[in-house]
Amino acid sequence: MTVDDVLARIHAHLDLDAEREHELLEEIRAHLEEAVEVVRARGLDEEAALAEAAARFGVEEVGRELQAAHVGWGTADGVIAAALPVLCALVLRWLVFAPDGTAVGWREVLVRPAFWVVSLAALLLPLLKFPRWRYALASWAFFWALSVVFFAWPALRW
Amino acid sequence: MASKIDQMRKGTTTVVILKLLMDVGEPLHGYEIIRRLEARSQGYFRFKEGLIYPRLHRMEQEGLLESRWLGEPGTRRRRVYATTEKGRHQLEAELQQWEAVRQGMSLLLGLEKARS
Repeated sequence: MTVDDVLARIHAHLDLDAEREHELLEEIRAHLEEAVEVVRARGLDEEAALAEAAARFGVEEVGRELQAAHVGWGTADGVIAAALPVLCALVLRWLVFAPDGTAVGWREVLVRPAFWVVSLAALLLPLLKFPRWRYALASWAFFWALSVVFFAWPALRW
Repeated sequence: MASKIDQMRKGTTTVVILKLLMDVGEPLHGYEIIRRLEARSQGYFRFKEGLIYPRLHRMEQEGLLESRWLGEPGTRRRRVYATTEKGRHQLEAELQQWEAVRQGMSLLLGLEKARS
């Protein structure tokens, strides 16, 4: 048995995004390696030390608890990441266009405080909500992509 | 009886982790947290070591802790945890509650005489 074998048993309980799983397992690898070193210092061989460290670690139970701790969070954030830029783009669309689709000029759009408030909210809310800034940037990019479509296609109806 | 004690231990994990990190005054990784808790409690606080990680992650999600990686990719990196402002406030509140519970139970169980 190796540390990789123990990590594989924990990994079998995980169904998260790849980056999160990698970070979780890297954290646990450091723990197991240190625990093995401590046990080996008492005179046990590598395999016995790992067996003891794994038994003290609680492999199966920890795998289940880690999954439970992380699974719901990812799903909720995915929904927010998709919905927030759409909502902000729709609000922006209604702020800068008349309901009949008549577009306001660009110069007038840029001096409207509401434009800047909505644009900043579309960036700041994800930055505050998501621990990874690149998810926030992706959300903000999606917001601008939708807004550009609305600006460039004022006749778009829904 | 053992099961009830285990339940109590589970309920106190958050506050003991916060207290340890506040007392130590520097970020610690999970293995170090486990070792120090066992040492502090003289063996009373002992459970499956790996269960510290779901608890640390939940505390981070709740804003009580913040973490960062120490070390370069490709080496043995460790994730260390430290209390946040919210965690420090929660610790203060829980310590006050624990003190109130301790005093009340001591009086009820006759372990302490009421102050006249």
